[in-house]
Amino acid sequence: MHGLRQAGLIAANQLLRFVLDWRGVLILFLLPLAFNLVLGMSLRQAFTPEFRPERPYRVAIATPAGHEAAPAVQQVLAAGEADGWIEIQRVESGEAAVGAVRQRRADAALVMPAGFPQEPLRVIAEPGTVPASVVETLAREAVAAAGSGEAGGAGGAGGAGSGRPVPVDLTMQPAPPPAGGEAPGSGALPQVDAMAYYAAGMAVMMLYLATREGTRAYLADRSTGVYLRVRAGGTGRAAYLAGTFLGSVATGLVFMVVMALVTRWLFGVHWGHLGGWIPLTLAATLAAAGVNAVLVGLARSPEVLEGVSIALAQVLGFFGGSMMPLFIFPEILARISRFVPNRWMLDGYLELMAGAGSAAVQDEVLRLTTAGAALLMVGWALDQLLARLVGEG
Amino acid sequence: MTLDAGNRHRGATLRRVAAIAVTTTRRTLLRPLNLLWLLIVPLFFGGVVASLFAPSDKPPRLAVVVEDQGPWVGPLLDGLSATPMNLQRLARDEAAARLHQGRERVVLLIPDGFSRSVEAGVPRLELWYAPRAEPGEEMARIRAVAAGLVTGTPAGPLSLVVEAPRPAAAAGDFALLRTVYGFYVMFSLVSLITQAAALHRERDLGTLSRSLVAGATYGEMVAGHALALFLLGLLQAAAMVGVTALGGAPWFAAGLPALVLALVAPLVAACGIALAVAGFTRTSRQINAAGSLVGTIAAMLGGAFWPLDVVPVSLQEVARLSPVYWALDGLREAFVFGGPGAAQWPAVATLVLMGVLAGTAGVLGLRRWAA
Repeated sequence: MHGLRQAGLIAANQLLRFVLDWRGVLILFLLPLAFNLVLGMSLRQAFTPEFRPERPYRVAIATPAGHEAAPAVQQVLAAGEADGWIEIQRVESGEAAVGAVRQRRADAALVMPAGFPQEPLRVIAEPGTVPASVVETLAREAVAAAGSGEAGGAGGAGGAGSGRPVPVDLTMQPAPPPAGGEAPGSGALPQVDAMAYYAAGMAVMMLYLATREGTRAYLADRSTGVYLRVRAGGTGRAAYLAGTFLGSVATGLVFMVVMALVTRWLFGVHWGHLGGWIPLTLAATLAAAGVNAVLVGLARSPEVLEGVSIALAQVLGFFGGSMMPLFIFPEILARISRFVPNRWMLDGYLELMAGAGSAAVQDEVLRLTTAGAALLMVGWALDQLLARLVGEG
Repeated sequence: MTLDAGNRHRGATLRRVAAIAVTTTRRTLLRPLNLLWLLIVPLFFGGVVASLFAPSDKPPRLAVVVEDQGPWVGPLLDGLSATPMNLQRLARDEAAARLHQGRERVVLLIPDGFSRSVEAGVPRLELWYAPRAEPGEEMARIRAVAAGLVTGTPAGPLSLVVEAPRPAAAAGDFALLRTVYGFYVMFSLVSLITQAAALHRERDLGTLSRSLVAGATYGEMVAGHALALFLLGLLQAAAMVGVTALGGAPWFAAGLPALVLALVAPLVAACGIALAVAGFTRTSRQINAAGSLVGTIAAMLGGAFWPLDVVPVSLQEVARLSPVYWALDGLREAFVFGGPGAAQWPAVATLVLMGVLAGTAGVLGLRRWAA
């Protein structure tokens, strides 16, 4: 009981020191909010399926006159223009189309060679850009349209009139709610837009730095001699360390609550079901405190802890989807990210934001709690070992 | 002062500046934490990006939920696989969860009654989407294959090639290079701003006043530290290019002069901005926070992490204020658009101007300390 009281006092002291360092607090909240704002505004269009560029992409088109496939290709491109994706610029030749892209008078070019379809349709654009992707998609449709003009071929189901394109009824719609969420038809689901995604992404990335504040105070106490003075006053090592970890968790919880409230107020972010949010936040904070506990065991000075923890937070943030949206991850990165606690946190928050109930985040809560408890034990053991090595009683 | 004495004075000044630069650089490199931020973290990200974003020959993945038992489901799936696509069948609930978690961009639902719709000549399918940036190639492929079921057109790879306007490097290689370069410029900004705290540390430790008493002027101290930043930046650039080139980044595909311009011009801008931040902050902690904020936001706005085509037009204009935008512009001109040399100069000139203006502001800010 006495030890618990001592641990509680030390935890409260860590929290108080965190709150009183107003510059540090300001930086801790200002950084994720600034990133949240920039990312949320920059990518707001990218997070909507109705995305259209504000300025249609300029596409230089070169088709040989009189080619039998040209009308089908032009029909697809005209549909893309009518849909607001592209603005067609007709040019004389393939060379002129390439020149227009090189001189940046066009964002992309589409060149139909005279030998098409034996020779392939050419899409010319800066690799990896949206105009390249859009024109490639249109070109694929154009190739398919140009190549499927004969109805009722061998093995076909028939039913289409000769020479007319087949009307494919491909309906685009948002995903149904995840398990445990609202039933379809029970009102509009909250959409996880860019602002909401990055509110969660930045919060879980900075959670490591928030929980670090508690453990940094412990290392500062060791380096200034305060630790030994307090120990001499009758506080046990276990109580001190327990208080430190408790303070770390408390600081993390304060951070997450404030972030949720501020992003709700500033950016209108809905964090979802409170019954899911509370256990998920507790588990996430425990996991982040566990990571810091291990770092404390390895880095024995506040300066080293600061540098290493920032680097680690960035690495975990990158792999966990806090910086780049998960849906643009390459396959290998998506696979790696499944082993990163950030990813579990983000998955949970995104599910809650999308309308899921508390049952939907049970797996994440369990995984984070287990990882957090295990890491705290490792950190504890490391600290004990190092204390013995330097001859502390 | 005679001409000879003037020359001697200039020579002594240059020697002192060089000595300050060398000692500052050496002291920086001897601290493991500085090495972490200058080399290890950037190389880790650059190396990871280089390996993860390397172009893949694998066909794209498509998650499929099948709710129809009719005869046309098999031919549709076979047709999609032939385009080629790597199909993964999922249950409805799992597919929905994966979309919400961002693990899938789209899921194809083959609804009950699909085969009957094919028989009727109007194939009916659903595509569930997660938030995404652009129409994927899935739609075009699905339409083509579904239409082919009706017409009897066999599905297969489509007659199409995608190429860069200037084939300095293969399309996939350039996309990789651009990503690595974007990360490099961001880390260069962040780490050089952070290293600009050295002058504050000298003041805190008392070595600044000792150097001034020993005969160095305050201007020489600032010039020495600025030169040290440039040397550190060169070292970082050399390490990044060397390591990522081994990982497959085609740095030399547009020639050495193009690469030198693409590396030195952003470095001048980064050194100037680092001096500006040092001039307007008072402590190392403030500089560290400013470094993270300025460097990362400049990278986000400048298009280091995603193509600027997806951001609103107003932000595309704001991007021009970011040195990362101009650095990437110089790289793209050399490799993709106008070619190396003359086409890079607008970007290079803008970066040098940014560096000079920011550096001047920084020196003015630092002079307040001398008073």
